[in-house]
Amino acid sequence: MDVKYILPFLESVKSVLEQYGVENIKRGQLAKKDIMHVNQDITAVVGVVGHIRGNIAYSMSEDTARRIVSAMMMGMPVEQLDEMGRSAIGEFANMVTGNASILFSNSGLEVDVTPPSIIFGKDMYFIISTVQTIKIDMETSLGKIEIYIGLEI
Amino acid sequence: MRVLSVDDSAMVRKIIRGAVEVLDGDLLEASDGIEALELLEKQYKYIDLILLDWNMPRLNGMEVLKKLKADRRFRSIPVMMVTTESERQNIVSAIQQGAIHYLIKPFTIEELIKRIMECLGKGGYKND
Amino acid sequence: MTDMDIEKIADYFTDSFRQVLSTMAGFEVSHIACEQLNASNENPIIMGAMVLHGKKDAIISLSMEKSTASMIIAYMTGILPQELKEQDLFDGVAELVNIMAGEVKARLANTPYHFLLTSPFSLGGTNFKMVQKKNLLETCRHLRAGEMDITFRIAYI
Repeated sequence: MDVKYILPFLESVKSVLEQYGVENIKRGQLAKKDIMHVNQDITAVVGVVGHIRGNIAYSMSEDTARRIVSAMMMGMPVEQLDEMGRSAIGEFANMVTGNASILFSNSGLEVDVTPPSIIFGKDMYFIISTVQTIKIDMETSLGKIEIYIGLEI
Repeated sequence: MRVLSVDDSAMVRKIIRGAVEVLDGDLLEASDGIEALELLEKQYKYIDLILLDWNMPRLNGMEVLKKLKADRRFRSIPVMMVTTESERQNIVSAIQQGAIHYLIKPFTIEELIKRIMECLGKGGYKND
Repeated sequence: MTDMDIEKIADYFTDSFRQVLSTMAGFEVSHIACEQLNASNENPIIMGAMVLHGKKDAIISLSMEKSTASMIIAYMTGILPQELKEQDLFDGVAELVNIMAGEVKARLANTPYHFLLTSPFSLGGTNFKMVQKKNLLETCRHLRAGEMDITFRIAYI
């Protein structure tokens, strides 16, 4: 997969998190696989359609998810991920993917984002694309976010 | 007899392989349109039939069909669409673009075998 | 979108799934009320899902035990269950969703509920659940083929 399809998602994660005051965002390891093993607590999957088709998944531990939701709620403490917390994680995935779609449209690729699905459960396997999926770890001050980019390009 | 199956689903390619083997044929596989065109560049002389899915990554079946029919090397290879796209306008447009048959998923293995035989009858069987 | 509409659309999917399984695997599928299926399950599950992109987006999913997926894919492909790889099962369940959605897409083509297919995804594990935002319109069907149980779910999001 051409790096030009990956960078908008990475830039977008960074800029969305920075909006909420998150610092020390570093890009980690990159891996390519057909079938992904996810060992985080929460995964948000968002679809993209248009000039680019596929699915993007964002996985994180429950602790990281709570910290992200708390940051999104101006630092309000989040004890557990209730319905509102889940919807905030969905919103986070939506914002990141939506933001990336704006970056794509700046380079002439129109991309529509479909609503997120939130998956709870560790030790899962998933396939989000019939083409290879790229996994990138993002280390942040709130914890690690694993990004899976499964685009059919 | 050699058939090329272009489908992003490995399961569908396996089903097609079963049918082609019943007919004592060989199956070549491509998981998207780009891979199919690359394979055709090298092997088009030895391919008797192309079974083409519609919704695929990178280059979809309709785009592949147009490219096949626009290239004099590939033009004579019969193409059957094998797809979930069952809207009438899509069927008509694939036939207009040069597909000789249109098989809608789901299909029975018997139906698939019958259609493959019909296609080979129509398109000319290159016996090697 | 009303409750009645979603039930009717869910029936379209159920009909389509029944047809896919009967045509491609030779299984007869019956359906029982969805309330009966919420027992916790410790066996590995495979789920195929797809977002239907329309005026209002929806998500559909098909969930089944891994052993059920293996049996269905084996009957569809003519390959023995023990020879199927993990990836074949994920791919197969995703393709079942794709075929089913393709048929319903044609049935809903000239209605307000027409949609475009998106890329299916599939998940496997022993203990996971998928949720969408709250207050959505959703329904499910519990399908049974012999001893095998399959759950279909649709939610407008």
